[in-house]
Amino acid sequence: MFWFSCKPKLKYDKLSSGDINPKNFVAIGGSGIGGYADGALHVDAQKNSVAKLLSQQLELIDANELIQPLVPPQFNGFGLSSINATLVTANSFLGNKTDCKGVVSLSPIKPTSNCTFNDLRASTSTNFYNDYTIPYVKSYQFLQAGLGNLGNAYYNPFFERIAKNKTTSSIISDVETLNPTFFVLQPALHDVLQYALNGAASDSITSEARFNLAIDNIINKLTINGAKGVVLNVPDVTTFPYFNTIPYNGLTLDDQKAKDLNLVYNVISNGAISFSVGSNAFVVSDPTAPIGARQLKAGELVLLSAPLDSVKCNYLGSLNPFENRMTLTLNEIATIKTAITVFNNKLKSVCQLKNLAYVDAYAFYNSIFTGIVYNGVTVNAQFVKGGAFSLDGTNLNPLGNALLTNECIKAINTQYKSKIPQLNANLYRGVVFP
Amino acid sequence: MKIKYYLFGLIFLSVNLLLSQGFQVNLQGQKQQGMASSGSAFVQDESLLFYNPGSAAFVKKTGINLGVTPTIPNTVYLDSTSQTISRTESPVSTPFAAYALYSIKDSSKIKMGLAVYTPFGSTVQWPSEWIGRFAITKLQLQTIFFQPTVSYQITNKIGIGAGFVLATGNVNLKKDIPLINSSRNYGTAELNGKASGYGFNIGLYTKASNKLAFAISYRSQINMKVKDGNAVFVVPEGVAVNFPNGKFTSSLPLPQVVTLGTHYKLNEKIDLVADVNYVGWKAYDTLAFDYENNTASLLDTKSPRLYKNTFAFRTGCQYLLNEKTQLRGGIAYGITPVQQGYVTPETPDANRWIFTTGASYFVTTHLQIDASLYFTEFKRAAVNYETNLKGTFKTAVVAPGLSIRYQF
Repeated sequence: MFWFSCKPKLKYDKLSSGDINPKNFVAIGGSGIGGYADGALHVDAQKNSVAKLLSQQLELIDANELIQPLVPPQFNGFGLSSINATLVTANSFLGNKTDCKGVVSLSPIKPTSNCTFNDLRASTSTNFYNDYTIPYVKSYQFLQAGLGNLGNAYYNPFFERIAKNKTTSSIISDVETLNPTFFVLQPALHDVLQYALNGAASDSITSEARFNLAIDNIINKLTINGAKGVVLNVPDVTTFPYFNTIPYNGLTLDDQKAKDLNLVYNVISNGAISFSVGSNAFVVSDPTAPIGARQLKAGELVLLSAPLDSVKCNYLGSLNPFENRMTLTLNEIATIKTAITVFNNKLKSVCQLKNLAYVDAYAFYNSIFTGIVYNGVTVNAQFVKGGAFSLDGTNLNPLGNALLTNECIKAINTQYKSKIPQLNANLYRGVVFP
Repeated sequence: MKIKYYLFGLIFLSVNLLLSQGFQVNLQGQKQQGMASSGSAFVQDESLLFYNPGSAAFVKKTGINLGVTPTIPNTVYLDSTSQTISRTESPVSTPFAAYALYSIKDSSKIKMGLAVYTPFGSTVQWPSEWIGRFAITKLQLQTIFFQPTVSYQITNKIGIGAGFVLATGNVNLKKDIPLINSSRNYGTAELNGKASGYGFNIGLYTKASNKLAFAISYRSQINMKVKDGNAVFVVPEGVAVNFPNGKFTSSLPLPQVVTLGTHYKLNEKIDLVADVNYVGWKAYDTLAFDYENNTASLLDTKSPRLYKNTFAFRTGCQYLLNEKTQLRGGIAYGITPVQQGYVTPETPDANRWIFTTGASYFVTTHLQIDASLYFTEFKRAAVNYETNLKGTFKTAVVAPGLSIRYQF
């Protein structure tokens, strides 16, 4: 009888590319924006990477599609624990794991890889790609000729997959052949992240001089023909769940265990190391301490690489001190933070000088660390629960990538007076639960 | 994805707000609806049991009145950052009103009445993958109010009336939980519960002259309480232990309303009416859910609503076309009780203009048919402080109504 209705209408904002020509879009960066997540480069992460998500929004203003060197479907992920590793692992998933005490709980599980290092190296071609996000790359390595050559000092098998010429190509020289008109660049995550992931026990932070030189060169080469772009600065990596999941005082003891440990340590440490019922600071090796070990201080960080089974069943972190590589001390944290500030100052000034959009990823990751609410969803940096980070505790998952992509879009819109819509980040998943 | 803060920082109350700010829906009588729901001082038919039981004392004869007003709400939401448009898929709701007024003789000073009506009763359904899915996907609210009433003519110029209101209803609301399983399905939460409450309704009517009448009426606040609600969670198996199904309690205040009305008979053919409603929405300060089984992921919630008291201004006229036919028109302006920062997808409320029209036809001297048509459209750009939903809501409501009235 009355089945007519009245549909209210709202108008979209008009799209606009503003001052940019996004046609030849190229993504350049390290693992942070390129689809390395859950401990491996894998297809789901690649398709939901910042590079890909940003390109999809840029396609709305007529950018070309981002062609990615996807992990071939027959392989379950290309994970390398470091750039020098040759053992390939698959991406982790969340499942039930039984610990040394027989307690079952949800934990990341790394399935056996079905491919070898040579599979990884040979897994692609010299086809056209405009996705040059190469895991583990540091600033100065973007310019390294022969980066994809096995003999090179900084050899990177992920670049070998797509290098136009293994022996002569650098990432930037290959990018130059594409005549980019617009780029996203994440130039410097691994300049400090790798050092932090190693517990400051190996690898090193790129020196300021080397960093500045590399950045100037990269930016000059990318912008020489008038290309515009968006550059991400370096997040405070110590906010990542990898460093914040195991508390410094996560050693929980009952009365008997505290007494037993005190019995040992009272003698050898002369009371410097002591325990009580409840939470206790872990013990870590420290050559500068009188007995070569000490308890962690508030603010020091235990890495996710610390083997928890050994903590629970083999007195790791108590009778057996943590190795230095499993922790970041206050001094090491300060060193990392200082370097990040230096890098970001440089990146910001270069962006200003070259009129590039500057994404304050540092502020973004800090906001995730504190926790944000996005359209009804609380997102924070808690491991697994927080929703933003993947199961490796350092790289974002699709939801986190979508939120970071939105920061890129905001920066582009502000810098270039464009009107590119942000993503509906709620279409992108957080951690997958069994 | 801490679910705890906002999991049920919800909702519950909706449809009424789509229709008009606050409880003053007043889709309760076709004659009044035709005049923008004013006419509490205009003695015409049995629906005065709702609008002003004092005025009802002057309705002549015993009569019954049955009406229904299919309500077609449509809300569109434009998310301002992603430029995503979402449109509600709400079904048509059918609020009804039934009134029976009994007087022993036509000249009796005392009248007894029963009103049964549905001041709430509709569904807000957002599309399944809309951007606010973790705030709300569906809210269904059904209520029936029973109001036995006595009206009395103190003099031939003054009438009073009072009714007791028993309110019953149920609420069903759904939202998605941002936990995804390996089949890429998100969790869902569904709250289902019966609610009840009671209150009263009183009114005073006075004829100042043969042409002019005034009315004042008061509807008390009704606290609708959900005591034994069922909370059902579907989440990935691995985290199911954190979301135990169980009971919950909650409550929702339906605000008190003061209405001042006037009726002026301009001439034999034209009647003018005007009403002002003052609605005590301030009572809706917080929406709380108390779960029987709390876990670290499922804590009790308290969501600020911070509604404010508000007014609605209504006016209309009735024109006697011929002996059998009346025509009506009305216009109203309503002020929203929802403050900036607290607009939610289930109550995308805004200040609004309301336009109505209507007609009545006497089929016989006993049988009358009334019809009305209600239209409003309103828009609000808003950010919600709790969910950070930021965008523009625009709602249009069309409500054609029909009633049949028989006087003995």
